[in-house]
Amino acid sequence: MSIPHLTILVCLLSFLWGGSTAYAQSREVERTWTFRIGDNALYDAYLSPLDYHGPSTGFCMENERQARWGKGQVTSFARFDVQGTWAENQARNADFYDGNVDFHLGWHYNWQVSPRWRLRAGGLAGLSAGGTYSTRNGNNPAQGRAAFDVRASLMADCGFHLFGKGCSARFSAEAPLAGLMFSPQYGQSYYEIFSLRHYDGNVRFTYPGNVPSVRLGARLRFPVRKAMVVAGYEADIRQSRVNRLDRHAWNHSFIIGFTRQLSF
Amino acid sequence: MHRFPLIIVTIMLVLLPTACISSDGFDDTRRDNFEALWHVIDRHYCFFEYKEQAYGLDWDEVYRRYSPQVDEKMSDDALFQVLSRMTYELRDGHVNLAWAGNTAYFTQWYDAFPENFSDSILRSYLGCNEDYRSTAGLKYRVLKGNIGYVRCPSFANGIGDGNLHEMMQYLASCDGLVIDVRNNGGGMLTSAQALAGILVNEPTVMGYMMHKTGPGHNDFSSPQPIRISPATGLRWQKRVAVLTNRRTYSAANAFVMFAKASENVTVIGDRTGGGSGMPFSSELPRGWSVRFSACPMTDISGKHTEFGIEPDIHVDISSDDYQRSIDTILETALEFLEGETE
Repeated sequence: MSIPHLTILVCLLSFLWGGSTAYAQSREVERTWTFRIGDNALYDAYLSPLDYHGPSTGFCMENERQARWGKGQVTSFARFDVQGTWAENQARNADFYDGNVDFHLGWHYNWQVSPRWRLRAGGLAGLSAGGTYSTRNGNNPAQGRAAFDVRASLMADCGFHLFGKGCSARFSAEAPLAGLMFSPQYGQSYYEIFSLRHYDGNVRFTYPGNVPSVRLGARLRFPVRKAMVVAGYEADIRQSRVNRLDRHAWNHSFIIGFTRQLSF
Repeated sequence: MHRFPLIIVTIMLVLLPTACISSDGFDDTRRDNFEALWHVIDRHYCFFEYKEQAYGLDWDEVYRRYSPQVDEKMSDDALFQVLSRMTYELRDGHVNLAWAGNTAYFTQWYDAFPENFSDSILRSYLGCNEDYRSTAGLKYRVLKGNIGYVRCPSFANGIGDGNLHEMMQYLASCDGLVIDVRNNGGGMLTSAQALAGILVNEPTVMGYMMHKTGPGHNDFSSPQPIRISPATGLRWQKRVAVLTNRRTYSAANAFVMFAKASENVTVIGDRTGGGSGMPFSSELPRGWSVRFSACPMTDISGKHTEFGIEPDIHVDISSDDYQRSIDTILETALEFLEGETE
């Protein structure tokens, strides 16, 4: 799938997502901003046979609102996520600088299974771009990443009271089901791809067998004065085995932020 | 309970990763550093089949011979020596091992042969800074017999079409052109391609390149053409002599390979040093750097140039000529081009 086709697909998804909320019965949007700080374990066989480890940080913005369709049972969800990592090898004489930008959107079907518990299940689609730069390497100094995926998403929200204040907890899980991903061949240089225009299976179909990844979260939402604070934990486990090149980024982070109800 | 969330949960439980994708987990022991080096080369080096035919290289046999030499009690220096000697079995100047205290280079591709170049003798032809022009790392002037001379000591600098146009404009009235890439250890392939662009008038296939598609010794892509695009400014249309010696290596070897595909070019001097594999980098658990040939290039007939390119006219600088400050190779090129234009 070429870049123009991907662009058209994302625009279509955005239109459906935005269009679905254009006439929403409730015009409230719940917007959450979170900052992330944690630890990332990186491995990229194209750059090094060794594990790299280091601190990571990031920023995420999520939007949720009731969809126009679905008789009030469907909510739309959009997430924009940026993260960066600085990692060292075990000898501490080489660094990886790693970064990612992700944008996903989709819908969840909601079930109020009990007065406290609400389950949401659905799917997201989106784009991811990023790269890893090695300070040590010569002709293979960096690995670029670009992918499109469709993923299953599950959330469980629980409302409760703490010290008389309304709070909630959310548990979430996502896993990519299918998509497309850019990758050089096992020993292919970027010089061959971009200077000589030697393309060789550089866009691959992805499925759980070759990108076994998962994103897990557990967060608490509680009021602090007039703000609604969000705090919790997130594990963003990204792995791929494409064109016989192995990669992982095992990111565990503490997240903190706030959420607001916005009316349009 | 509602079915749909159960279905989603079931899908996720089935599809959630059951196996982590992990590294080989090499530790910083003497043994693991040896294993890491051997495996990095075994999986990524691109000339095993060619060198098995050329001189019987057997990487498994190298493992059996060097593995007993590794001992956990040995010093860093001793380990470095053992690992370096193992890399010399590849007979490849692009295979290097480096740590803070030392860098291992295989140098027999030029050490065992006459140098065929002298900076001080060349200075007598080039003159001082006022006598020649300099752009993008190239030095050029007009020599006797109205022959243009371009000295290219390295391809480490970028070469732009503007630089080439100005140089060609200055040398346009010359009857022949000498491009001297002796002692040019390489640099950027894109610069070698750019300089070769003055020799063609349309996109021209002047070589082939491959890459590994897997860890097996014979896991390669099909050869893909290296097309040299013509320089956008003035281009050279007359006879060219390219000067080479054993230290013409890597990207300079690639330039000679491109140039030789042109009918107007005659290569004069000694065999080039070779080095036709684009090197990649890696590392060992101890933090030592490894470099190795990863993407092989072949000439237009599909022949490897890893061990060098033979000149069309073989000339050495004799010891008498060294004494008399005569660059025999350059003089041969000047006479050849003057003879060609008569």
